[in-house]
Amino acid sequence: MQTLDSGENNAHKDQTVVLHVRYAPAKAPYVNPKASTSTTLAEVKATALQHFGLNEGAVDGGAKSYQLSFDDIVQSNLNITLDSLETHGKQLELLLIEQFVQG
Amino acid sequence: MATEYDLMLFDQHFQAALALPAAQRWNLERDQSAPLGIFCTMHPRTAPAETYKVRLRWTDYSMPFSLKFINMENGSETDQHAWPNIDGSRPPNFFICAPYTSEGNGYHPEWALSPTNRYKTPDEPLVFALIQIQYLLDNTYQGRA
Repeated sequence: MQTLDSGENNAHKDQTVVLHVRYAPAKAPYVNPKASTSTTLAEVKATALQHFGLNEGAVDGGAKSYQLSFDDIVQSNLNITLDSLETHGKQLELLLIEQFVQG
Repeated sequence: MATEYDLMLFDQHFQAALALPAAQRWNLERDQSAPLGIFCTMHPRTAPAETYKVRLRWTDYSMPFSLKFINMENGSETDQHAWPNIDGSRPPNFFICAPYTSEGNGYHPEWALSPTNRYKTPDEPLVFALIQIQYLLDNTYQGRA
């Protein structure tokens, strides 16, 4: 039985997907053509917030928060990695949604 | 009064909305009585048999829009049973209390002065509106009013 050498092993672990994160107010999504499948949703969210110039928490006297949605479902566990989401081929699309303060 | 530029953008964004993957779940049509208006029939992910017809109208495409859920039988905009219970919805008063609706801003004029809550015009207002409503239906739906 053949065993994987360390290079092959690392290559096996470092799978990538084309990651798209759409933020509804912005026409162009954030795209990472080689996102590692070991990336957590927390990492994706942080990168997307930075890309779109957004901040969570206390902002300008109020509070803002954002959520990631996949296949129309909000992802409450941001510790999961991209490989735990069912991708459509090598494409993975997430939606970043702002939580509005309501009166 | 819609400008020619608004009308051109609206036409482009209507086509962009039709191209969204989510549009496969919608019946999206222009509102023939309002140049910057659409009707869209949508349903929550968790209740596909519960359909809602939303009407979106802009008088100024860069400003918050009017959002009403319409009775699918008679077209009434004052039937609270045509409204879903979702975050921000106020079925007895027929509005969504959020910074992106003209009705919400009517109740909260202070929002226009708030850096946090004032409406920031999206790149594609129509696309933003449809994605936002579908998100609310998919993730905050608690039944028909």
